[in-house]
Amino acid sequence: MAVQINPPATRARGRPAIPVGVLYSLTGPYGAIGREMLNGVMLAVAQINADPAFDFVLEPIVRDPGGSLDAYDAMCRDLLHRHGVRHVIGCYTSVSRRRVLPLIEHAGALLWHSPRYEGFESSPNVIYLGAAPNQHFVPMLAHVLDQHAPAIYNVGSNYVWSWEMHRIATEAAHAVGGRIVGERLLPLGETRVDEIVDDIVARRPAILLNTLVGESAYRFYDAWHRRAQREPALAPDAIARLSLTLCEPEARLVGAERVAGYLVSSVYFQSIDGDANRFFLREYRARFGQHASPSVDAEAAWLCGVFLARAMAACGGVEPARVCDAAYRQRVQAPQGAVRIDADNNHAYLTPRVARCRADGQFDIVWAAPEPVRPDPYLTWVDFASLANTAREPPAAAPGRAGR
Amino acid sequence: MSVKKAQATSVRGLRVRVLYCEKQDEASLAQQFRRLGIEGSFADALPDPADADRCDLVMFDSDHASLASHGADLRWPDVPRIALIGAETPSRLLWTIRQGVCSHLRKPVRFEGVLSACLLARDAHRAQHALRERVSELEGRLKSRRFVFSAQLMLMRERGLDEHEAFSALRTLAMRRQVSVERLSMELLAGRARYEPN
Repeated sequence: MAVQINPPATRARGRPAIPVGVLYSLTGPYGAIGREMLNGVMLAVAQINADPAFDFVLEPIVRDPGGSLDAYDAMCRDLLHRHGVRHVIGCYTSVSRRRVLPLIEHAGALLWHSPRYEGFESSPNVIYLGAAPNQHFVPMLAHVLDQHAPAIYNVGSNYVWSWEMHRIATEAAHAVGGRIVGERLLPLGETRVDEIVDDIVARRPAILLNTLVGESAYRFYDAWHRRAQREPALAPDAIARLSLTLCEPEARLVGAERVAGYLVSSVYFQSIDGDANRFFLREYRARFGQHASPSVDAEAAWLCGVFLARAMAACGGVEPARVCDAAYRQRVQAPQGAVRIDADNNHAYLTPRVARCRADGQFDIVWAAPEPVRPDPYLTWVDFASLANTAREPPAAAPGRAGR
Repeated sequence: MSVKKAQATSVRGLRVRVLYCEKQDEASLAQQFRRLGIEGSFADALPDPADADRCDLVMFDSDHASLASHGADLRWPDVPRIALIGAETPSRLLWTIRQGVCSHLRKPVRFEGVLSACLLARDAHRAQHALRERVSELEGRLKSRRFVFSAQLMLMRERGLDEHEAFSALRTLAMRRQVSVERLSMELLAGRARYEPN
């Protein structure tokens, strides 16, 4: 599917149109997230194109690879070499990013990347506006290990995101004298989850880290919910359930009652109190309907468009190296708070939060970083042992520590 | 260039088995293999220890979920292994280290680097092998060292030799029979050899 969205020429009022590639899978297994990220970009484009302070308009050229890596490759080539775009906003999965990265680098272009990811990458040709693990998982671990015994069960989808999040959880647990009581990895798309719920009931973790994605996650939420109704061991607060991806539209999709009580780490929730977020929500709903429900992915995609436009305006051109330099100097008052880009690693300063999912699918923020946190994509400055300083219980008191 | 040197840097005829390789990497590898005379084969299968007889080197995609099924230890054929590395996340790198790789290539695989990776892997594997054999030989000798000591003591007691003379006698006898000092000592202690001074 190829969608070309050209803003009407009359709206440009003679301002030159700068083509920008948008490469999100709007169909396929994670199409819903792709459409949401597209909304975020299109909102930013609309705001910029309506703002006479910019002496150009953005002309998004939207391509939908439908989750196919070969289509990412072909469409990215097409954007770079037939349309001559110098900037591409896109990708959700790490495999798709790694597939297009050589093309972007070879063309000397810039990829504006909005999703959170597992880190350990810093291409000079990518601006990473999604959270690095030190901004979304480490703060949550510190918070949770402060409240619960460090006996963790990891369940996830069998791919790089889960592998890396489970490794971090394992390192953190060991560093505070805890242990991993179980780990299961399911093939992507696998829906047989009941047996895993049995295993979790049998092993009684204090903390459940759920890094399942897509259909596997939805089935798991449902299986747990059904089991919890007749199993006292799964009473709402008996086991702390953690998710790094659950968001407002997903809670609505799976039925909020199935995910109520989940602790979620993210740099954005709709419930953030602040003028910038209220304005964002108002504009988003005015454009996409009163029931539109933006998540962290929509906000990050919006940030991509805003940073790109402001940096181009600041340097007066589209050349990626200059735009990149100008981007480092931008300070954006985003719905989540102040955001800027670290020139050392091209990732963004973001504000981590931990929130609890309510029965209506909204999130109560239970912890927020006091200020934007510097990105540390290689976890160089994270000291897992220091998490122990914040842990509530003395080492001897926690269950499951004897083995370590 | 001497013939020996040419062989040392030639990979012509090398049988390389590539596991769980992405299509674009397969295309680059297949083409470079043709240029280098490498006999490549591509498979989506877990490593087969029996491959040790059928291939000289294994490459595998370190990002592939089928290989990376956690907990299960893969049994690799005893040939050099090269990892095709995409994600540099520690979880992947730790797993890759556990597979005992001798060299690596970064994904996406390009033509450059294939030859160096193959040569370095082959040499590293050969060196590891040689080292392992040497260590096991030395361990064996260390174990039989006590027999040498006992034989030495026996000669000192029964023949009135001093420590140095006893060892020299053992060594001379071993050389004459063309066995190791350890072997000779065991035979002496077992009464299967006798010390006959000239």
